[in-house]
Amino acid sequence: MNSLESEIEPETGTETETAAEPLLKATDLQKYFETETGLTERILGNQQYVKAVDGVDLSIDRQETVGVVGESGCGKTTLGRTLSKLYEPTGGTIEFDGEDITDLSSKELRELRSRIQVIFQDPLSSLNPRKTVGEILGKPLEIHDIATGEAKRERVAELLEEVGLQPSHASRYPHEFSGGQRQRIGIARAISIEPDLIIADEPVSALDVSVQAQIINMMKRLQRKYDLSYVFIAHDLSVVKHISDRVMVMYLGNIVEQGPKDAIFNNPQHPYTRALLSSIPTIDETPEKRRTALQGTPPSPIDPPSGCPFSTRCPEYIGPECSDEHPELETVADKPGSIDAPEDVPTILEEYESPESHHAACHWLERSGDERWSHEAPAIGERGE
Amino acid sequence: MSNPMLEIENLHVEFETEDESVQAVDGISFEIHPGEVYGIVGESGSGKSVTALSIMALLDSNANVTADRVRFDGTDLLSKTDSEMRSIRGGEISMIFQDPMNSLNPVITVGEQIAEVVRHHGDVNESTNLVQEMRRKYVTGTSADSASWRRAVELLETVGIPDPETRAQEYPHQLSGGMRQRVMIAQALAGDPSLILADEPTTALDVSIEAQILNQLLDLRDEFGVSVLLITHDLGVVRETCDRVAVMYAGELMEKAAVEELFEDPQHPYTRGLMQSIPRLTDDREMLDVIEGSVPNLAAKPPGCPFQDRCAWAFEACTQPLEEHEVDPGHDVACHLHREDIPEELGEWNSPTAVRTDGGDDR
Amino acid sequence: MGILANVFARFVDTDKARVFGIRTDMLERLGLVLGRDRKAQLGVAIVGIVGFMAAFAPILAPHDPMGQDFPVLLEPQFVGAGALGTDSYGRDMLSRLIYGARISLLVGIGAVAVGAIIGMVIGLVAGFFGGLVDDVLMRMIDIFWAFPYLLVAIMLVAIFGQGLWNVIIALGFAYIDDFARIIRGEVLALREEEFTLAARSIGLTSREIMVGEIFPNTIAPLLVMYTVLVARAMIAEATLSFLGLGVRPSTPTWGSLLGQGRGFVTEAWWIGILPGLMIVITVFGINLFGDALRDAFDVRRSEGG
Repeated sequence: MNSLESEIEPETGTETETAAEPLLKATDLQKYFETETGLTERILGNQQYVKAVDGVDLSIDRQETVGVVGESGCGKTTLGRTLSKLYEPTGGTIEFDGEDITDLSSKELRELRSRIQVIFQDPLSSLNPRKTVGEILGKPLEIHDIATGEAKRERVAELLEEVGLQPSHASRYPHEFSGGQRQRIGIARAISIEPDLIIADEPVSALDVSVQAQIINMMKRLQRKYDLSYVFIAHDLSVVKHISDRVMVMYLGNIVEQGPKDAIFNNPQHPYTRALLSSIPTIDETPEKRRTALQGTPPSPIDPPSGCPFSTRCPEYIGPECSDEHPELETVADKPGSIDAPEDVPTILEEYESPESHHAACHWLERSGDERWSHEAPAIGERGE
Repeated sequence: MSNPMLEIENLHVEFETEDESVQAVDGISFEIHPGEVYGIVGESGSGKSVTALSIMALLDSNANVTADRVRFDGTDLLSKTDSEMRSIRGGEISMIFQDPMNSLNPVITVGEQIAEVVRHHGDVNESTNLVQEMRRKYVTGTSADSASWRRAVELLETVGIPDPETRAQEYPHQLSGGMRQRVMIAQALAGDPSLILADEPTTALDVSIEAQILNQLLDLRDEFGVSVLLITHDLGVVRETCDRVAVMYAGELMEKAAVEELFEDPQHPYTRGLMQSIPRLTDDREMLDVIEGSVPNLAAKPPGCPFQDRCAWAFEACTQPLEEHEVDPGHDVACHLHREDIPEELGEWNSPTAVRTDGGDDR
Repeated sequence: MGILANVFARFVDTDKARVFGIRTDMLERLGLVLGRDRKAQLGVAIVGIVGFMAAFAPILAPHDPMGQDFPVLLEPQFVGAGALGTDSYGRDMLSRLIYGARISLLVGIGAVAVGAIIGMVIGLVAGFFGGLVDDVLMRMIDIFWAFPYLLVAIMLVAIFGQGLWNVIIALGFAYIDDFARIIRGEVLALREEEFTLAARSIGLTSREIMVGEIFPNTIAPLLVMYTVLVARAMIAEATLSFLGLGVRPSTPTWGSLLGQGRGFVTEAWWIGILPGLMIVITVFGINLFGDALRDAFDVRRSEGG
C-alpha cells in the first residue's frame, strides 16, 4: 500500500486522519495487573499493581498496518490483548468502528470477536493439541454461523489452501506440523471469519529466518485480499519497518514515539528509539565501531519512575525535569529540539522533515537543538530521584 | 598461522530411535584458531547445537558420534575417557547455553555456582569432596572467606556485573535475563578455558541487552585470548561478532568463509537466499525474497545436496555427493554450481542480477 | 496389527467422527498401540478375561456359588469337587471366584467413577475460575483429605448400612480429592496456554472453553489416575469385606473370600491364596490397560495418524 510513495517525501497523513474515522481508537488506555499478594496485604490494602499499559492513545485506520515495537516487558503484548478485548481495560476507552467497546455484554463481545482477531506468538501453544486442524478452523465458522456441515468442510479446505497448506491437512494434529506451518494454521484461524482487524503478537519471532519471510509475505498478500488492518507487535525493528505503515515505540507501558514509519526510521527523536535503532545487528556492513549498548535494564513496572519512564537509562538525560515531569507525546514538526540522529543510527536521512503526525514524548523537543547536540548526560548513578 | 585450537574433520552424529536413524550432523569439517570467534549459523534442525554438544561429549547415549578427527589444542578428544572429558568440560572448554534460567541451578547462589567451577578446575587447593560441597551450598550458603569465592566475585566483576559482592550472594531468579547470561559467562570463564562454545547466547535477550553481552564476549576474547565457537541463527550477530563463519543446513556445511567475504560475496544459493529473505532497515522491498519450501526430513534426506529441493538453480548433478570447492583462499563452498561442467543455461547464476524467486510465499 | 483398528472401524460410521462420544481416530490409535505394545496386549487380555468372567458368570460357573455340599468341606482340587476345591461350607471355589469377579469389578470401576465424576467437576471449576472459587473448593477438598479414606468409607457404610451400592458410593467419596487435585493442577497449567486465549478470541464462552477445549486435554492424566484407583478400590473393597463391612458376607467377592480364607491358611491355603492372586493379577492387568489407553489418547505421544 505504501509502495508508490517515495521514501523521502513525508506522508501528508492529514487527509486520512480527517476524512474517515479510524477503525479502532483507544484513549488513555490502561491495564494494570494485581501482583501476587498474601491475604493479609490484601486486607491491609497494600495491593500493588503492575502498570503494564499506562495511558496509551492510539488509532488504527482501515487497511493500515500499525507496528508496535519495544523490548520484553514493555507492555506491547498486554496492549494487543487489551485492544482485542481479551483483557478488560483498567481505564480509558476503546472505540471500534465508531462504537464504544469498552464495556460489552457477552453477546456483544461475541459479535466483536468476528471483527477483531488475534495471531499469537507461539503457534504450538496457541493451537489446542487435542484438536485436529479441521476442528480448530471449523470452530469459529460454527460459532459465528458462517458455515456448518459440508459447507464448513469446504471452507476449511479453502482456508488451508489460502495459507499454503493442503486440504488433507485438516485431519492432522498441530504437533504433526513444523513451526511455520503451525503459524499458517494460526493465521488461517484468524482470517476464517473475515475480520476487519487482526492483532498479530510477534507472529514471526519464533520462526526460522527463511520461514519468517514466507509468513510476512503471506500476511501482506492476505491484507490486500481481505482488506485487513493489522496491529503488528514485534521486538524486531527490521521486520516492523518492512510491514508497517505507522510505527509506535513502547517503553514501560507508555508510547514514547509514534509516527509514519519513514519519520520514525529516518528521523527518530526519542533517545530510546535511537538506542534501539543503533543496537540492531545489521548484515549490511561490518560496523566500524560496536553497537552502542544501552546501559542497565528497564525499571519495574510496579513502581515506574515518576517523570519520564526512560529517565533512569537515558543517554541524553537533561536534568531533574526528566526525573520529575512526565513528558507528553507532542508533534515533532518544527520543534526547536528536534534534530538529526547521531550517525550510528543506520536509517537516518539528514534532510528528512517530519510531518505533523510524528510524535515523541521527550523534554528535549522544547529545548534548543544546539544544546541537545552538545549535551553530555550525567552518569546513571548521579541522577536525581 | 599457528596450530588450530580446535580441529574437526568429517564429524558425523547419528541418532538412533526405535524405528529410524537420523543423521543430525553429516560429515562436517572446520577448525578454529586461537583467539578467533568462529560462527556456525543455521536454522533450527540444521545440527548446529548438536555439533557443539558432540564436541563436549554431552549427547545422550542414543547418539553415535564418529569423526576422522576431533582435536583440541593438539590432543584427540574422541579417545578421551569419561573422567578425562569431565576435567576438560568447564575447564579448558566451557559452554554457554541459550537460556540461563534453565542452566543455572535455582536454589544455589550464583557466586557459589561459579566458585564450584573454580574449585574443580582452578588451583585453589580447596577440597571438593561431596560433604564439603554440600555444606557450602546448603548450610553455610556462601564461602566468603575462601579463595574460590573471591575468584567468583572477581569473575562477576570481569563480566561487568555492578556490585559483585552483593550479586554473588543472590539467586538466579533475583537477576535480570541479561545479568543471568553474564553469570553464565563468568561461570564459563571460571575454569580458565581456551575455548568457549556459546550456543545462541543472546537469543533469549532483548536487542539492547544482546549488544551488551556480545560486546562483553568480544572484550573477553581480546583480554584473555580465548577462542569462541558462536552458534546462532542470526546473521546480524554473526556479522558483528565473528571472524570466520560456516553456514550449516540439514547437518551439512554449505559454505565457509571469512565473515566479510561471506556477506560481500556469498557463493552458495542457500546463503544468498537466507540473506535475501531478511528484511533490512535500509531496504524498501515490497515483498521479501523467499526460499520456497521447508527443511528436509533428516531421516529421509535426498541423496546429494540437501538443499536441492528448495534451490532455484538445482540441476542433475545435485543428486551426486557434495564436494567442497575452494572459490577463494579460505572460502569453501559445497555446491555443484562451482563445478567446471555446469549446464550452459545455469552459467548466469553467479551474476549479480540473477534472481529466481517469485517473491511470493511458498505453497 | 491393524486388525483391531479394522474391527473398530466396522462398528463405526466412519463419516461421523464419533462413536458414543469417542472419536474414531482415537479408537484407531488404540488399535495401533495394541498392535505394537506387548504389555498393552497383556493388559487387554487380563481385563478381557476378568470382564468375560464377570459378564458370563452364570454360564461359566460349574456350580452354584451358594450351593453347599457338606461331604466335601475344605477339599482341595481333584477330589470330586470343583477344579479348585471347596471352602469351609463345601461351596465350589471356582464358581465363587468367577462370581466374585462381578462384584469386585463393579465395585472397583463404579466407586472410582463416582469419585472421578465429582472430583473432575470440582477440579475443573476450581482450576478454571481460580480465586475465591478455587480457595473454597480446594479447602473443602483439604478437609476431606484429612480423613483416612478407609475411615470415611467405614463411617458411610455404618451410616447407610451394608450393601453393594452403599459400598460403591462410600468408596467413591474417598477418591474425590485425588481427581479434584490432579484435574485442577492440569487445568491451572492449561489455562496459561495460549490456545485458551485463542479460544476466547474466536468468541467461545467460559463454559465452552472449559468443557470443549480444556477438558479433552485432561483425559490422559485422568485415565492414568482412574486405572490406578480402580486397583486401589478393589483392594479397599476387599479390606471392607475382610472387616465385615462390605457387601453381605455370603455374597462372593474376592475380598470376602480372602477374608474367609484367613481362618484356614494352614489347612486349606487355596481359599485365601486364590482370591488374593486374582486381585493381584487383575490390578496388574488394569494398570497395563490404563497405560495403553493413555498412549492412545495422548495425541502427542503416539504418532499414529
